[in-house]
Amino acid sequence: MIEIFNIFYLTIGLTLIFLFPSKVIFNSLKNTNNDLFEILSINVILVLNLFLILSFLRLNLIYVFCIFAFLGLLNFILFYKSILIKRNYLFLIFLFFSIMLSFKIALNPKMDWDASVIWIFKAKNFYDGFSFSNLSNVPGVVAYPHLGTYGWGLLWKNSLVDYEYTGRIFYIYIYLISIFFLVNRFNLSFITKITAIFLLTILTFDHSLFSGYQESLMFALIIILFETARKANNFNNLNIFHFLCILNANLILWVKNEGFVWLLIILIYFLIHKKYNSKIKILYSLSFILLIVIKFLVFNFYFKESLIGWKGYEFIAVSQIFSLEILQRLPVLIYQLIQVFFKYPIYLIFLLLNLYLLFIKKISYENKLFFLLFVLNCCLSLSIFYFTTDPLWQFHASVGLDRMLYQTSGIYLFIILNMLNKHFVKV
Amino acid sequence: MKILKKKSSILLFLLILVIMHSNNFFLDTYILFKSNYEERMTKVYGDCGEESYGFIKKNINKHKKDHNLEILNPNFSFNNSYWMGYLHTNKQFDKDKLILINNKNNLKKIEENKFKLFYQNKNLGFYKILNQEQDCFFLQKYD
Repeated sequence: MIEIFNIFYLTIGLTLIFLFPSKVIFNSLKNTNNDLFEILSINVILVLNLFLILSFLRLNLIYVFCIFAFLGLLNFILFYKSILIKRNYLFLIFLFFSIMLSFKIALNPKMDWDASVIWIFKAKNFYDGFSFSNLSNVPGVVAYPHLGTYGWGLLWKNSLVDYEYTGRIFYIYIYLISIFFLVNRFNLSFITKITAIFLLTILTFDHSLFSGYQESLMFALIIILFETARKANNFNNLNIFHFLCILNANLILWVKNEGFVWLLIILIYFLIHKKYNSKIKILYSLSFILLIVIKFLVFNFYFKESLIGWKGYEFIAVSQIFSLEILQRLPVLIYQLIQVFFKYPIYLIFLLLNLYLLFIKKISYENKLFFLLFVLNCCLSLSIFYFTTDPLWQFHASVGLDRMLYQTSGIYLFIILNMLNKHFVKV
Repeated sequence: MKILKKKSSILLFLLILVIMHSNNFFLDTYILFKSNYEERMTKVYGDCGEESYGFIKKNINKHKKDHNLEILNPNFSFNNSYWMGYLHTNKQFDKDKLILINNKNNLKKIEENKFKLFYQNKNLGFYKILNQEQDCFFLQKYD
């Protein structure tokens, strides 16, 4: 009983934390509307950036939680009361989904391999009140980023029961914010929205990825980034949403090391998209490079190491790239890629929809752009396993490729919903 | 208009029921009510074997306070006690006691309740068994 009550308490606590601070900052701007999930998503970007800064300080996480929840409560009283109370049934459905999926983690609290050997140590470090600099003293891979585990430790510390799984509710909450944000912007009936959310959770909720992995957080942040970029597109000039995209890009870098690769893909999207003017393209390019350099410098300053790929990753010599021995990896990797498409059918749906649009000759510029991203995404994901000197490349691909592609599947969810809305839904 | 509203309310109710049913919400809630955390953890991590949550849980508090208890588990390259929340960051390990999981071959009997402990080709010295369940051992340094 106490565990069920605790899940309710943590869900409410997270809601309070993510009600702060966008209304305070953006109240004078006319760019935001009263879409609660847009506000929550913007707050995810801002609050997680604040968490990132706080993770460098040695703070008691109980105080951090209380201060954020108190500020959120103030925000609620001052700004949101009307938004939340006035028939916001979708928010109730959101809370229901969050509690329902949290029950699943509570029922099966088993952590998967990477969580047990890497991420839990970082979460426990923050749980015990230590900061980023102490990560070199705990087991695991020191050069892996830590942002997700800060949230995990924060929630675990503030749970009413001292059970590890309670910290992982953090991932469920942010995952759901991204799904609701994505769906809520479409002009659909209430029932259609809930049906869409239900179907999306069937497609994208993988229990094993909430067993201590960071993939779900990356998945959510990428959806929020693309949604924020779409919002930024609605205005011709440089606006606050562009800065939110850059802040979100910073989070992507600090969740997992693959974030670096995803930023490259996202940057290519911004650079070739004709909607963005050259000023914005330069801003994104410089900001992304600066963020990557900052992360690299921080890791080298604190731990004297930084990583691309897994620990001990080394690139093969250029002369070997097209050697027969290395080329033999291609069919295996392509086969594993196809397996991933069936495991996470978002990719299959995306390909089939594109084929259909090509057939009826209605393929748009946006579709072509996302198809290019898809090709780039697959090539870059495979290249990590293709270019390594590690003789266990096949093992790494079999356990890592699916999780890598899951992280970016949110990009295609974004375009799939756009396509469905444009061509099929007449609600 | 009223009929339409009524219809959509029924539809919504049915949809929520479908969502609850397909996510096993009722069963999950029932199990959460009925079982406690320890039971669920023992179910997924085992009592003795694999990660051996049950055995570790029974013995984890029988060592020096403010110290971590070393858990030697040749099947896993990590320290089990971390995820149970028992291993405290930056605290020393108890040099007197430890838990050995999953491998009785690591213990070589010298005399009655005196064993030589080998782990990853290292001789860790002499130990006596304080508690044993199948292949799980709670050991103390032999004086």
